[in-house]
Amino acid sequence: MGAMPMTFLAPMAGAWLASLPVLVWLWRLASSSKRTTLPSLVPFERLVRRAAHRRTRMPINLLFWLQAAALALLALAMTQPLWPAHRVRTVLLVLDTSASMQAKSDGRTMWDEAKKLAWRRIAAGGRRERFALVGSVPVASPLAEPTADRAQLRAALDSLAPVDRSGNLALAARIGRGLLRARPDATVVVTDEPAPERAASDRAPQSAPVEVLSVGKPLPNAAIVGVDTREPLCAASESQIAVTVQNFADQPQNVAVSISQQGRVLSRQTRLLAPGASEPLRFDVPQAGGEYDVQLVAGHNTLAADDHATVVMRGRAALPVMVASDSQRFIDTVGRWLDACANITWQPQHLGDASASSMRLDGDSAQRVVVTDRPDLAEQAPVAMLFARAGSADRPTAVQWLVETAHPVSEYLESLDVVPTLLARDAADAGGEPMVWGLIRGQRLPLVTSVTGRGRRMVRLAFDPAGPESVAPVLVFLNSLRWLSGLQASATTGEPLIVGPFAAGAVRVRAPDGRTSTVNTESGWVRYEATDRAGRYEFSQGSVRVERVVNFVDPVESNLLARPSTLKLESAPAAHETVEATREQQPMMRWLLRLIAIVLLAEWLLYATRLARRPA
Amino acid sequence: MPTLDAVQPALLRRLEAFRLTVRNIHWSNRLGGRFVIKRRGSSIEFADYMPYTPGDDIRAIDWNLYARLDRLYVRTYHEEVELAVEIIIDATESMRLPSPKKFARACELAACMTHLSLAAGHHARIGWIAPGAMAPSPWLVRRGEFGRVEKMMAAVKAGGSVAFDQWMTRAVATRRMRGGQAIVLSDWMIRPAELFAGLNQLIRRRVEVKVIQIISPEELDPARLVQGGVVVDSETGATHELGYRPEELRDAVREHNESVARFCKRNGMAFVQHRLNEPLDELLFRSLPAHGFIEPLH
Repeated sequence: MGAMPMTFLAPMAGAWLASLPVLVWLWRLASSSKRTTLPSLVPFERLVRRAAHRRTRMPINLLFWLQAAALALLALAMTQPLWPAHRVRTVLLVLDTSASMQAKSDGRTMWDEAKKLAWRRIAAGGRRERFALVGSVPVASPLAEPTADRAQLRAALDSLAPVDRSGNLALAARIGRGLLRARPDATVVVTDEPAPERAASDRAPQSAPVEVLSVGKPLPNAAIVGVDTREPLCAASESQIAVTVQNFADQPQNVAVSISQQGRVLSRQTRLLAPGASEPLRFDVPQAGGEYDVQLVAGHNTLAADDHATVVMRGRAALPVMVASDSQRFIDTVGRWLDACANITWQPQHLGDASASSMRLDGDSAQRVVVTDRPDLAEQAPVAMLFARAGSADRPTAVQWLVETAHPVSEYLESLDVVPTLLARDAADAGGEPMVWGLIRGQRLPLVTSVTGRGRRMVRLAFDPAGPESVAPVLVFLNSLRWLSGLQASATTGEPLIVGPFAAGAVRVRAPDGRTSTVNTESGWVRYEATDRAGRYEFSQGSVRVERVVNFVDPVESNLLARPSTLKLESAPAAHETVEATREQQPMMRWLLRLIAIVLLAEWLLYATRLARRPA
Repeated sequence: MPTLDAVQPALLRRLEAFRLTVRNIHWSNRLGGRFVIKRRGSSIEFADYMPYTPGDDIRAIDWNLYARLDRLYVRTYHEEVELAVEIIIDATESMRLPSPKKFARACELAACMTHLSLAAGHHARIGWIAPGAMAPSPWLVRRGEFGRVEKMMAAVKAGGSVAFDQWMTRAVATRRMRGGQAIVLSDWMIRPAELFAGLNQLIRRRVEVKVIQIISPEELDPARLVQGGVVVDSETGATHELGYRPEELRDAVREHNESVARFCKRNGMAFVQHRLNEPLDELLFRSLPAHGFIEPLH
């Protein structure tokens, strides 16, 4: 309708337009045949004498003009005209659906407040604004295109819900603009985060205004910010669950953590935590393995999603390891270390003289910890340990270990002292989070780094284990291996789950919130990425059924007292974003029909009044 | 047939506080009334002495004056006459249009004037300007005769056409109009020449003429009646295709009415225009005194 041009060629419009002369002719006919008796024509004798003959035939009647107006309006209505176009603003409405929106205050969640605020903003927009809705986690729009339809917007708003993940509002806004394929006239962000400070350069006239509607207020919380397992590999030690808790309240509070299995509480610890303080709590658990529920209880606790976690321990099950390298010496060296541990079953994969481009791991490497000296192989495996090989120019160097105590691996490195090792050439460039630093010729370089996230764990060791002058730091290796094996205990929300093996075909996935979906696999391994909810994910294919547990552990989301802003105000649109001048044209037909009805009503009233006043 | 519904006893009682304004009394009125005229008459009121001429009544000779002056003088006395009021109602076809209320209102006004005349001791007679030889009412003298007025009114039906000047010529001759007053009620939708000629007949016979124009609001704004087409003169049957702007029609009627009013003023006639949407008592107690038709008794 909006693109239809106004035209008088429409047949009905032409017909009604042609009826206007007919109306004039009918009135002239009626006026010539109508006889009105007056008391006397004497007063008009002089008027008659001086009047032109032509004028005496013209009708003097408001009724005629009203009827002519009705016909003209009808003809106009048949042309289906449009109101002069007015510009409709496109507003990108980004709703924060991160986990912190589930925090409760005064019996209402931040999400309830956010929806209320968003709806109020939509209602204030009137007809001059159309809205595109985007949820921040996962970044998706429930609407196919921007709309001003209140019913559609209400349904879309109701379809959004917060998930157990953290989000990035700047990313969501950028993706939302990408979905729009145009720069919106305004961006409205409804979040529990504070509004970002606007830089002076953001006041440029070309920047689209960003309106931040903040809900809620700083709230106290206590959360589980880390869960890990320590299972014995090669030494006689107890199985432990390490739970790191943190107090996000502005006052000290007691935090109680209990470990239970099948409803039976196995252990319970309570700590008084200062504001902002975190503390790891270790719980000894039987080595039989199984699932353990971790539950946190605190006095000032407003977010429930971070109070619970589930960990899976294998007990005495063997850790499968694959040592892959094109160097037999490397395989032999690492194999000697692995042989020292009875619970590790390992298999070598000698790659021979294969070129780097053709190197591929075996199919079952996804369920093994891959130890390799080839970066390309380490990238292929979800769990990998990468040793760096030194070049021939390197020399053995005495290194003083500096341990980062925040990392779990560091618990096993305190006994290390000055050790000679052969450093890799790219030790200083190793990526990831440094765990162990080394003082080498007065320079601080990372020796051991870890990379976690997106479903992967990798440890990068910046020394060559097969070097002839290196003293092998076996303890570092084994502890890192144990940390790598902890990946199997549980995953966190947002990380993909790699589950298998299945037969090639469809695998049905049931999420913790009851949603079911189907994913197809050809290799037999399913990579499931929609882990937005903490809980148990069930993968089934025929009689094969596999369960995986996903926990929500995110210190940033749990910190409701000081929320950082993830929104970045952009001063200028990206090059591919163009301003689309959206103009919405409204059909005039409805208004014209109303006007016609009013004209006809006025004509009827006038006629009835004159009829009533006419003398009998 | 008009009824006198608006003429209620209460209205008549209020009307008795007024009397007809009389400007001139002439000898031609009926004798024996209470209006004294400057004419030697037979009343007991002494007027003057006049030299005796043969033929005078010798009983009127003042012998005392003869003894003193040695000349014959006769005593003369004032004449006393009654006021004859002719109430003339236009009963032509135009008085039925655009509404019969126009003729009815004329009859009500005529009844009120009749009552006023009888209450003041005048002689009143009602006549109708109508085609044919429609006789006027007999002279009404006593107040008790007012009851006959309603019957007379009910018997009259407006209609037909009459040339006003010719009717008046015939009426003054046959009804021996001379002196007194004539109150003429009409819409005056006649040619000015006819109007002037007719009323001049009365003036020449020393009749004090009072003119009341009864007109409807629609006549003053003819566009409310004429919606184009052919218009027909109700009296003459003449037709014309009339199509003018409303203001042109209004101006034409206004000019005609002004010519009537001008003529009346120029000839010393009381004139009032009464619109049908104006209440009757408003006319009787405000407009008529203001235009010199009637005056309060005290």
